[in-house]
Amino acid sequence: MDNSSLLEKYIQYQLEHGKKPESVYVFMKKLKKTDADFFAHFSNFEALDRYFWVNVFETTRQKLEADKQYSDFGASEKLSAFYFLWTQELMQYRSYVLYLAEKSIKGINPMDKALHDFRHAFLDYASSIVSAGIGAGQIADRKFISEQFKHGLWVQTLFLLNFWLKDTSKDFEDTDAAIEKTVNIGFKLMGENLFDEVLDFGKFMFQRAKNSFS
Amino acid sequence: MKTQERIPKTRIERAAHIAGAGVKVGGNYLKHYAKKLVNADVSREELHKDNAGDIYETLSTLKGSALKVAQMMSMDRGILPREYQEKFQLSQYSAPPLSAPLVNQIFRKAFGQPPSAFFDEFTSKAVAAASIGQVHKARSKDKWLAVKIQYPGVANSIGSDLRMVKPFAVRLLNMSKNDIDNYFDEIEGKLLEETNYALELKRSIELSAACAHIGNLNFPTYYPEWSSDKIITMDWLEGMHLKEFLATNPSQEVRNRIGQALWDFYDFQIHELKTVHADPHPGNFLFLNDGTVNIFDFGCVKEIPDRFYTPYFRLVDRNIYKDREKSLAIFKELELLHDDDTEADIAFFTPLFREMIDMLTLPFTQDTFDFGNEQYFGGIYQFADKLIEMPEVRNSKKARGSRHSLYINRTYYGLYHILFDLKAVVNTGSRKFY
Repeated sequence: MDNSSLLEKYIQYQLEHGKKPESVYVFMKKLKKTDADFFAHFSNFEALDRYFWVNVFETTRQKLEADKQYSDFGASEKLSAFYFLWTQELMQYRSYVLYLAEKSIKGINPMDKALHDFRHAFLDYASSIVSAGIGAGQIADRKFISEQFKHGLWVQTLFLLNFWLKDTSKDFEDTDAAIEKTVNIGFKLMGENLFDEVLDFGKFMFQRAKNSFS
Repeated sequence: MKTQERIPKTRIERAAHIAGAGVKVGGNYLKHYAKKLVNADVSREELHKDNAGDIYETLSTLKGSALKVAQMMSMDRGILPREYQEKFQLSQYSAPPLSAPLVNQIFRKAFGQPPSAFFDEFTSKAVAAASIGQVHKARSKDKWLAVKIQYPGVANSIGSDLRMVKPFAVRLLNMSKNDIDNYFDEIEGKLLEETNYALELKRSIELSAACAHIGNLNFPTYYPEWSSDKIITMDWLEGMHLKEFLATNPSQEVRNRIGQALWDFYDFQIHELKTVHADPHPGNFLFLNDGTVNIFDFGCVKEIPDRFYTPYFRLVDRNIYKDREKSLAIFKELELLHDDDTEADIAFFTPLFREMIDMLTLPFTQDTFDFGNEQYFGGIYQFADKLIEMPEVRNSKKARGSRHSLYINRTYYGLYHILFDLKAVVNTGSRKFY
């Protein structure tokens, strides 16, 4: 068995039983395999949980990078294209993701341990988007703050995931609209001078406060 | 194309926008009446200009159905004063464009592949805006195509957008909520139909084929293999919008030829097909200097039921008024009068409706009609203004006129207005109604 067939059986088990298998041993026995077959690929179920998310992400990224048009896109278009394809890739697992969201109280939340590997891979990808945006002048380069933009994109990712889970529109076209709009707004925020002006104002107030006490 | 600063995205945000204009319009009326107290000569034009500006500013930051309603209001020239029109017509061209990845996504959902898989060339940016979508230019081998793509989520927002525009309508039309609801049902139904591109494609193909024999009209070929419920692909047609066209100073002969073609197009649809392209907005036609016109947008199509068609066109015959019973019965069939109207109501409204209908059907009663006649158009506007000024009309909470009249009147107003702008002389009397 390979990674993906193990994952497939694992998902199937949970959807049918409404819970995780009791142990790797029980799970593999059901498949008429030994637990050694499992441990050759994953150390435990948690590793498989993490693999699920990072696998969808990597599949999406590979498909994007194979697309000639993607490389010609600007930073915001790249990010939109990523979200469109990512939600598309998740579609085959929709029942499973809904099941996961129901298991936890707050839906899929950013602190979820299963998202750990996905988060790392995504932040890496988001950094490349942000530096491309800065290079093209779409995103303002600000000391300390630009570093944080990728975390904003991560929050946006989780927002879109939960939006997609609740979306009841035909063909999930509301999710498409949400992607388009949040990416536009996100890039406006990263590009406009709003932050700079707030910072400038803060410095000004700080300076005044200092002066009035001296 | 102008890109907007920011699109109000949520229902609440959109509602806040509309409410903003509502307050401003109220303020403008207040200002108007205050000025009028001091100086009775203050023109309504000034008031309308103020209102149109504020409503336009608000509506132009919305897209989707609110944009469409703006366009619709700009068409109802009988109800809305002239000053609104130009501003509302601009609103058609100011929607923010869709990004290239979203266009790809819409294509992928429809056909499994992005546009680059189907076309040899495809503009990544939109070349024109449609009211609920945008148009891209594409090439397949040596053929140039227009690919119209709908904004996602438009159908979902129609209901809530209309509910928010309703307070405007109540104020502008002075009608009871029930009657407004009846009209809004009709509009909502038509708007929802317009979001159904599969239906539009079917109608476009059918109506283009049915009207193909009419001279001086050009219809594009449609491509069902590249169309879906969100995408329509057709031949790319070169031509000018009405304003650009008129700026080239076309000869009277060319203008007459185009006017005749449009007249024949509508005459055939209304009287033979009983199904009509009910959106004669100047943006839906492209004009050419050889005296032909391109027709390509069948998003808004009105099917005319017989129970409306028959009484409506019987009124072309002026002799009908000699028989009071008969003419009153027709007015009731058209819902201009109601069974519970008093004698006084009947005495008041009958001559008004007659004047209105006589005016609108005047071209039918003559062999040729000069639509450039300013007096005729001035008369229509004066009549509309007179109606608004009449307290009996203003205070009547009853709807006067069937819901079907909404799109039919709009079709005629739109057609007449284009013919007026063209200053065309048209043979209008070939059809005999009695």
